[in-house]
Amino acid sequence: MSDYSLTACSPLGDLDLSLGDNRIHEDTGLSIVSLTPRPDCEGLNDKLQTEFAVALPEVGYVQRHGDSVAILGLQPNQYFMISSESWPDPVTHVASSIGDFVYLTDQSDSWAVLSISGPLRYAALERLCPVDIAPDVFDKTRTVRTSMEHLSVIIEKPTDEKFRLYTPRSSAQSFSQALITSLEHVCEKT
Amino acid sequence: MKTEQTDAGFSGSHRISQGILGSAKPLSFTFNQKSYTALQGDTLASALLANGQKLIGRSFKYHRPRGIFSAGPEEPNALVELGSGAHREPNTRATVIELIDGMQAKSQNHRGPLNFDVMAINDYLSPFLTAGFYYKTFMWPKAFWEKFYEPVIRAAAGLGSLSGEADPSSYDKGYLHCDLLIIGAGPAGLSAALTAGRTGLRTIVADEDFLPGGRLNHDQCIVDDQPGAQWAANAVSELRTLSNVRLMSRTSVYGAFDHGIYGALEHLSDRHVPIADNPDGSVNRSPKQILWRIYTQQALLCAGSTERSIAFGNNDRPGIMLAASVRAYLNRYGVAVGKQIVVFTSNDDGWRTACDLHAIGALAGVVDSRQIPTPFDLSGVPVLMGDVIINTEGRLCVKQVKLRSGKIIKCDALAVSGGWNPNVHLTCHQRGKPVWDESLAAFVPGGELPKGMQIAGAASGQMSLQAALQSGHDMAANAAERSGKKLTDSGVPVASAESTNLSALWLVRESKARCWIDLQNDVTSKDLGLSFQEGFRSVEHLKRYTTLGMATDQGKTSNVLGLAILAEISGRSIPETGTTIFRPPYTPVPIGAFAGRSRGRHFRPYRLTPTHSWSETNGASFVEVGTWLRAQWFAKPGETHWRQSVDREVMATRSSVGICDVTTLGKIDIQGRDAGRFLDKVYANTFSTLAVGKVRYGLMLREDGFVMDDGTTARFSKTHFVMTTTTANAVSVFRHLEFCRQCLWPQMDVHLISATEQWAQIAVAGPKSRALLSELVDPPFDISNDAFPYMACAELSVCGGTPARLFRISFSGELAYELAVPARYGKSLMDKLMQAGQPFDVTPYGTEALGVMRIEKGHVAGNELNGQTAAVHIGLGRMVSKKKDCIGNTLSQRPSMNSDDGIRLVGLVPENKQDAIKAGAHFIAKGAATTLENDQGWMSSVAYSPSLDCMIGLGFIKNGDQRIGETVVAADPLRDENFSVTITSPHFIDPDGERLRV
Repeated sequence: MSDYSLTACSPLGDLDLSLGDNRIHEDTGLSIVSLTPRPDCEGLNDKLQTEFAVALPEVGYVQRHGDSVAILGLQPNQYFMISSESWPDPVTHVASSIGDFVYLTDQSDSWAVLSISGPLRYAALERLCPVDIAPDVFDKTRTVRTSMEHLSVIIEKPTDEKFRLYTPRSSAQSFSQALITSLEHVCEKT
Repeated sequence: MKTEQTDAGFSGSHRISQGILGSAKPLSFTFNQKSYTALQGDTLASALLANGQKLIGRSFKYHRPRGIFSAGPEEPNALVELGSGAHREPNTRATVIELIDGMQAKSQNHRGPLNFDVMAINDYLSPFLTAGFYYKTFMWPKAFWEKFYEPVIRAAAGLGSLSGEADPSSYDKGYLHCDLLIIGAGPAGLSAALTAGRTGLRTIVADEDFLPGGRLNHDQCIVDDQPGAQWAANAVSELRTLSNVRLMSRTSVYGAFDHGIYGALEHLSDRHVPIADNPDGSVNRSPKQILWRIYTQQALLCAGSTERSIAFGNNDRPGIMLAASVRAYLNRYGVAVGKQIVVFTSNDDGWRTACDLHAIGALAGVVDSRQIPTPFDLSGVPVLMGDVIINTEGRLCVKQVKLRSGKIIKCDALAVSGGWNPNVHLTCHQRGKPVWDESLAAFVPGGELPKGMQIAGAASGQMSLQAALQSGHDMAANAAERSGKKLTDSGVPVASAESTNLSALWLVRESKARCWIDLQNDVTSKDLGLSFQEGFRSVEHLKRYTTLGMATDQGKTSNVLGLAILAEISGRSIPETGTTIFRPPYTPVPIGAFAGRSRGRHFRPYRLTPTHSWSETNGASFVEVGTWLRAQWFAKPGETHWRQSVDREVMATRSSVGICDVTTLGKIDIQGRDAGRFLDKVYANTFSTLAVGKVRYGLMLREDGFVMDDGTTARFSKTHFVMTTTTANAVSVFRHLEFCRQCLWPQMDVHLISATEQWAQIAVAGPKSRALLSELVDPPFDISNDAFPYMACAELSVCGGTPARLFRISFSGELAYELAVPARYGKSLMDKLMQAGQPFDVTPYGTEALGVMRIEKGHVAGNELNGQTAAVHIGLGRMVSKKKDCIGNTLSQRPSMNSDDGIRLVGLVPENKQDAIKAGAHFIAKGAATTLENDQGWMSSVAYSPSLDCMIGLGFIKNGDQRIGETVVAADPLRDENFSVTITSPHFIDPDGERLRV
């Protein structure tokens, strides 16, 4: 075994910012695995139900099992499985149960994940998000991949009280700055 | 005139009540450095009028004295500069500026004091400055145009001036969604909003005023047995209680775009004074304006109408205003614009102004062009039916008016009403053409409306208050039904009756003096006649020749008047004459609002590698590579020039070991049973035969056979490949592959996903690279040359269990590897490589050293793969497999592309080792002239090679592979440099690749 060991570093240094009752913080430690069903993958949904208590959602929707696992339908034949647990080797972990049915790619380090909560979360996101995320349109079952400030962002609502935003790791500082600026702007307004 | 002191104290000599401002707070402001008082709720215009200030500015061309003409966004005259220093904002309309305490305003477009502008001499020169004068004059001497005439004209024009400093204000953008967007919160808009809101329809109401209500606040009218202003206030109160309604005041909808999208500018805080910091000392970041993109299902235009003037002699003097605006200042702001006011009208609406003025004893007379019985009984004042004003007098303010009948009436203000024009602007933004309505003597919306748009109220030509309320209600009800909402039982508001009779009067022909049509551009009726005389018959030509309808007001008060007069001149009807249509924006939108927050450091996003902070700490200078910031070199203490750092990094790598972050290279995860076949089709060479655990260099062609990109692709299992692209083409290659997968070969079992962000990838290069990596790779993985040879790859673990990928590939030409770990470990990996590499004096290197080493090795990069070179040109023609088909294969075999005398990649060395050759030079045979005909190729890349101790280059030259040893001239006409260079092999270092395989 090598004498050296590596230390993990989150994309945004564990960002955690509160402005009044509003909070932006970095969700670290999530496992994110891209799933693509293989051809002739009959039985996949049954296996998913058995192993993770979820099924594949339609594109634009989310299937959840409590707070532990969610599957986001991002595009035809592409899903993200999100786990609140930090699996040491996410692909191996998932493959051990459904590997025969899907192609898997680890995306856990590809994305910086930010949550925004508080009474001004909608107002702040209005300054960035071109998608209609009004409560009666975009609930916990919905997800969408869109562009905010020229950056790719996946948006979902793990609870009614907060939005979770996935943005590419390399540009996460630009995106977090944009999100913070939005919250600052709407906080000043009030 | 009856006057009264306001509760708030003295707020102007012409303030006779508080109108509907209520117990308003007193404010102070300055105009041309003179202090004035006002009331909260005033506009700058109402505040100036309240203080008796009628002269506000000077006209654009003739510098004639001008005052406030209107009470809304149509204002052509009262343009002022607001704020000071960097906050200065020119050409703002005083009529829409909400007054705030401490506001500083200045008049503009004059030299010397406002009341004695030396540039007013232009007015005396007006016979020489008629429409289009600049097309006919300043022709001689020719050289004077650029150096004298144009600078002088530019200095004299432009109205206000910018500060020249960066705008310190903050701007923002945003996105809104609704079922129904109601544009305007006048009677129709509020009626519609109540109807829609009560059904639960998701509604946005946008109104440009800071006080919703429109004419309900300006007129003495009754709605549902309440004063109109009170009804409006109650409606607003109710709307604010409805969670499905968003009422946005201070918000101008400036454009109707495709797919039901509208642009709107919201003034969040009219900060024309420096922004105060927060009480806790923090900087106030509140934006001044927000540019909204509003996505709508349906829209209801309730934009009202704009009063128009009548053209008569000297109708531009300060104190001459639109009649309804005079009424608005009186009823909303409690300001009498004069003490002896004459009303000149062609319609009944002007009489309503006369009645309101009569009630306060400020009416000096009424002149009505119509030969009809007097519509209202106004005792004690002269009423002249069938008469017209032919001229006015008064230098800085109107003093008297002269009538066709010869009568003269003394006055200090003149209220003019020539009828009303529906505000059709937004209906034109998708090329809808307004149509003429003879009964209104106005254009009404016509043609194809923007998707989902309906129109209500005066904007649709329904001019009475009751009709506006009714149509607003009806249209909103229709919108709600279309959205599946159930109507409530609320009825239509009932308004007091009013007459809207009118008779069109455009131009008083008996006037001998100049009759002004467009006050903002100093266009007169004579200019229109001259334009017609000179052949500009189309209304579009007329507009451009005379400048009618241009600038900030976009002809809101002048367009219809101008084309009606053109119709009279041409003997055609107005419908025959036609009309111009309107483009966005409806009102001026600051450039700052379009930019939003995208300025300075935030102009565009940037991407950072996982080792960015490590590089910062270790003295890196960064370079922008697309949106990435990459370490360019790492200066050490004592190094005073970048070349010293780069030379050191190259030599250290070639002699021992160097490390470089190459994370920015695109990484595409390709999985599926058909992944190998898929790669065969997108790459020129074959990949389906690549063994698991091996890497192969690949060349990707465009359909036309030219090289698109290159890189290595590794195979980790039978169904799993990882492709590497160049940094620059990472996105375009991924997009290309997705197109191939989804559109060309959808039957293939292939899945793509970008893994660029997932992995931190570090190049470890140099003869000691294996020794260094041995410290980090977890046993039992063997990286010996036998076990892990050149072009091998593997998934393994490093540093005690961290999953990793290792590739034995080399861009530098040395024994080298690229080690990838999950991005979260990238920074730590650099630390550990530096620690473990101490015995080898490991050296981090940046993109400059990377570039030097690839040129020394003869590897192509973006400079060589510029979209104009094919595989054969870069010496890789044989890589284009003839055993299989691939994108670009057929067209790469074109004879012209494969001719023997075609360009070939070569190396170049200066004949004189001291010469600093440069990329971009073109090759010319010795003794030949530097002409295009003699051009034989170009130098694509150069670098100083510390290994060879001279500059070296890569380039393309005709038949280059057959000309090794020949000397040509590298001619650089742009820099006026010519160097003799010798053609060599492009492989300056280790041409046989022995170092790679040790």
